[in-house]
Amino acid sequence: MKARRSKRLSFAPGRDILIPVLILLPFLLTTAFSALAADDKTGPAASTPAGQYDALVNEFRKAQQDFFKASDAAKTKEVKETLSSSYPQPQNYSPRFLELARKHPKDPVAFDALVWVVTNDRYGQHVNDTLEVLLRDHIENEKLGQVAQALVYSNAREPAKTLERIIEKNPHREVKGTATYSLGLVKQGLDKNAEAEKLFEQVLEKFGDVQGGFRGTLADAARGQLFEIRNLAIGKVAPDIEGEDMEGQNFKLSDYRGKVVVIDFWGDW
Amino acid sequence: MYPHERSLVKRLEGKPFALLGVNSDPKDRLKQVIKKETMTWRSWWDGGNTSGPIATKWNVSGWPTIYVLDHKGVIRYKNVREKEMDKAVDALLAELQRERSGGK
Repeated sequence: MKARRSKRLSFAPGRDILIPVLILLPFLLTTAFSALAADDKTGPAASTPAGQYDALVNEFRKAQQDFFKASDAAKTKEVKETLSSSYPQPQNYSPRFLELARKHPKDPVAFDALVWVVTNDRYGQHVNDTLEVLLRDHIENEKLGQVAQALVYSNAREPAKTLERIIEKNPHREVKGTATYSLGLVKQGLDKNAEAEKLFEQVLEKFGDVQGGFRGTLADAARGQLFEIRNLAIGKVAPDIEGEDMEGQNFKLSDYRGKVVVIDFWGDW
Repeated sequence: MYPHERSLVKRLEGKPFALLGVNSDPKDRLKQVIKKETMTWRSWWDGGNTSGPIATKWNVSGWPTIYVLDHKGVIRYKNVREKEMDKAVDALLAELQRERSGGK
């Protein structure tokens, strides 16, 4: 927006300064007091709500890319640590996405902007207000699954209640499936394993083929969670592990029976 | 992570204890890290990525994921790190010792 405003001002120092300034005055005022509305008349990219949304998304993405570039280039730990405070926080972008959604409530972009806040800034202060608007205006949206997913790890006040509402009111199978699976994860996180098991069973019965979860379909994901609840909970005998070390030598977890064992799933990243 | 694990393994040398890794790196990378970090403990090589057979079966979706087992193979703690891991292991070793000396 800054760049565009300065571009407009740049033809003010013309041959006859007074006339352009007079002609421009109403423009300058609208720019100052209603920046976005004035922008609608300028650059072609920003002329539509969708264009403004894309510009915002790109701005955030570019800030992230620039940050990672600088971080990669940093030679010492100290420089890296100083840099880390300049990480582009999604919470600084949320107000602009929310503003866009408020200005164009009927445009499909309102939904996208609200979803951006709930998925990218899920631990931020706007999550609950944004969810309220999403549930009020977009409960039947076919792309609500990503919101259901984001609710599992977020600052949402009542993730379980919200998910139940989505399952009840949203007519799309993909969304219902994702919300049911997400509700299972929420219950599991609360140590309500019996309820979680029921929900994962439902996912297997009704929504198995829906894409989602960490590895492919919801069926794979639900099976993984059920295995974890039934075989990997505290108090269960650990399933055996058999495989090769880096030299190709086979060994088993059960070889270590009689010893206290720490199993560490790790990667050097 | 590595320095703590190194000191834990060193401290418990000769005790009925083992640290076992399940590694999701490509094999060359694993070999390099083990050498560079002087890891004396064993790791299963899980196929070179995060969707290896062991991580998939154990439903792992975050790294590191930690399980602590007692001498009977029962899962007793999950995702304990650093000092918490030390405490968990020490408690289980004490339990094992009590059991072996035949009393409570």
